[in-house]
Amino acid sequence: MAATALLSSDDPAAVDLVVRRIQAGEREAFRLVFLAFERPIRCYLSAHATSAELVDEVLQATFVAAYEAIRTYEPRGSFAAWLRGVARIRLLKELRARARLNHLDGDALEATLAAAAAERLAKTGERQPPELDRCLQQLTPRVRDLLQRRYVDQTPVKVLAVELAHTETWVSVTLHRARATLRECLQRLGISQAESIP
Amino acid sequence: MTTDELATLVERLLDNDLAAHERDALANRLTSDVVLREHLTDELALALQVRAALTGAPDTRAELLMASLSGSRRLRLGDRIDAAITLSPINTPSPIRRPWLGVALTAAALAVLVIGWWILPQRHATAGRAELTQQSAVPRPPTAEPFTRTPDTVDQRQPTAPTSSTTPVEVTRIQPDEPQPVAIADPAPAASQVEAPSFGAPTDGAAPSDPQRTNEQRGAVVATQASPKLPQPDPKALRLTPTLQLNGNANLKRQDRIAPVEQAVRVVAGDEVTVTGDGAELSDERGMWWWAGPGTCLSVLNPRPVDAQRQPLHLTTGTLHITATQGLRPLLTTPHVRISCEEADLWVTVFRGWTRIETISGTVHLGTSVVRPLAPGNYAVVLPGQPPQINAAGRDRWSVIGGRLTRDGVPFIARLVDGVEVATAVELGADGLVAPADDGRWLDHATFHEIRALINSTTSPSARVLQHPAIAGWFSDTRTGAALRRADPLRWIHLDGERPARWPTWADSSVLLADEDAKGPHPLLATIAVDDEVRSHTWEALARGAQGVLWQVDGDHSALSALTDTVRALSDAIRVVSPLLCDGTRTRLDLGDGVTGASWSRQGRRVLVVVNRRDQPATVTIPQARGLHPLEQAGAIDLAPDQTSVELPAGTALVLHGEVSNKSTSAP
Repeated sequence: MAATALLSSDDPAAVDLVVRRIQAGEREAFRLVFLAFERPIRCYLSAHATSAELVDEVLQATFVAAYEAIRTYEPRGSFAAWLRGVARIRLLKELRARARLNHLDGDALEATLAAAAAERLAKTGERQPPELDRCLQQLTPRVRDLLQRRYVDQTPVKVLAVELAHTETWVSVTLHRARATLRECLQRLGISQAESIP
Repeated sequence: MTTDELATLVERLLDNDLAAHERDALANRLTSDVVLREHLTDELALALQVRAALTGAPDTRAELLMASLSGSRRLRLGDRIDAAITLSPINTPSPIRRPWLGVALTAAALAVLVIGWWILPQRHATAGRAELTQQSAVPRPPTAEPFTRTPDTVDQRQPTAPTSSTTPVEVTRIQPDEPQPVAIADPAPAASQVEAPSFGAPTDGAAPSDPQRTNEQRGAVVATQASPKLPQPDPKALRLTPTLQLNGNANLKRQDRIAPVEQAVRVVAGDEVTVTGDGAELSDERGMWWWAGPGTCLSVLNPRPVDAQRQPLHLTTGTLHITATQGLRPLLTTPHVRISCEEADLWVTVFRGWTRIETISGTVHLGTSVVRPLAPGNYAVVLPGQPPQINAAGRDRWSVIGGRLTRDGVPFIARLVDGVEVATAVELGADGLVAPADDGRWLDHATFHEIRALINSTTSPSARVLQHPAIAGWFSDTRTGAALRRADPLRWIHLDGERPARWPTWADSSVLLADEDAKGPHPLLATIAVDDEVRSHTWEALARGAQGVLWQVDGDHSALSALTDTVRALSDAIRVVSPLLCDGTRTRLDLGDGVTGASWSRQGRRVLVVVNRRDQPATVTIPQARGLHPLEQAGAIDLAPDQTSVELPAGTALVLHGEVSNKSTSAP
């Protein structure tokens, strides 16, 4: 509860200072790290995961693992990359485990999706995906509200269809089109980010 | 697949709204349709990214994370405590597990195995058969093999039976009072005489059969096969999975034969184990370690090739503690969940109808249809047909922390602490120890608060307070206290199981009987019923030399109030003078028939106890009471400074303490 000053993940020097406090035994300072990096790590994991439950679990496991291994981090302004590496390894192991275990358990679909996601993650490296916030702003408020209710509140499509007085297919297709818009926006951002890298 | 179909499929996947046959069909299609697979994973990932971008309020999740991290802190603290206790000179050898102990046991067991498997069969082959032939006219199987004696064997045939240690032909007689006819059953019938426990298939938590108990109930005299009688392991099974080493008490079933195991034995794929007695340890050469509580039924599955590198165990009922190191992935299945763990240390308890999993460290994966990781500091409850419910330990819950819960082989004590606050409690010196509840159920919340209040009141490093709604106690013996702490290496287990039917050996064997006076330094414990006379009985036992008191409440938890009111005050009073009771010199006072008295003195401090055990008031002359004053509010009797005699009502105790000069400390 001692976390009073918020930490920005964009300030490597400040992050390293906090990490040094954690390494010195101030466990409560890790709360600052979590609050600063939870969102970027969640976004990173989401770009490669197959289910919301997987994201939540690996996110938790990532920070637990990071805390346990934080003494191995050398404060050189690269904590974000270090933490993303921890997350990547955790997610990769988890996806591979699910691919294997779900085959044993008879859930071939989960195993197939996990295997595909693991394969994709192994190829992509640790690059942070572009922020989705700017792209979300390009959507109409109505669509943003729909996305919020569907993906954050996890309202089932059937319920949304009843509330919006449309068919389930309409809801699904509307969501699909929204994602397509976002994907195009992300691709533009990704290109511009790549071009900005010297 | 059209856009509409793909859009609908994505949402149905996210809603987990696909039937089993649809999932299978889709899986088959994705295997061959790479483009669709890419599209689908891409759509799912983007939906999750939207969720991540729009999700706010990380504070709650931060709280959960910080609660989880307390597990790591607790572990380190536990390690420090264990190390400190291990280094303590007052410690005596204990059966409690230590990492090096496991290694040593495994090495010793391997040595025994080498000897047992290469030497004994040679000797049995020659001497065993010959002596069996001479032994009796009891029908034997054509391939008679040696039998061994179980520890509690009463051999009724000593005059005629061969005594060679190399031919341990014995008969296990469960009830000595039964008639004499001796029957040595041949191996196959011997196995069938005991109730074979149900293995492999889930029994939905049904209590396992205990062959020994069954025999005892029957009062029959039967011969049981010992481990050398087990069939040789199937070479194919040996190839499939690394063998496990079993140390402890268990009944081992192999190829339809059941034999009690009391020494190290190899367990291979296809074997089925019912743990008896004090529990059993399983370990393998890769550093994996399991401890199974009494009554645990588990079997080593015949794995498919893909499982060969993992150690598949099936747990039907009971409690299993798994420690896996070096990145191993042991696989455990229960009737309700499949557990895979890596470098993990976790407890698994299969109850009637549900499974409870709690991880101490390492990565644990739970699942049948849905796989979920269980982070340290969390526990999971799995009901049949439902996904694991994972909760943060210590959040509005209490945990019993216990190690092997045995002392001298008897299941005994767990420590009750708040899951999150355990580290704090230990740092404060809390040594509150709580036995499992009578019926194995969770204690209600009010009871938890009562117990927490008791624990929080325990700060003295010397006095050990054993606290339970039905049992409480005080120990002056530091060695006992240290042993209790060693028996509690900060492992997590929740309230489960039954209260032990009897006290641990050290308590049973050192009981101060009524009207007995302690002689010699051996620590003696007195068991005092919590009733109207608990106070006088307690002080009287201490005056007679008891170095520990167990307060026992008969009946249910309704007596908790009596415990917390009366015994807590009594415990507090004893704690005030515990340094004197522990280290002072007790001197018995001769105050006449029916009056028990003793005094302790050290470094100018003195405690005086006088108890009137008569049925009528007694006038007691108190020696050298100057400077002393009543210890307790309850039952206090006002004394004038120079008063030397006092009238004690029947059945009451007078307890005085205070500073005295050196000259006045000697008892008359």
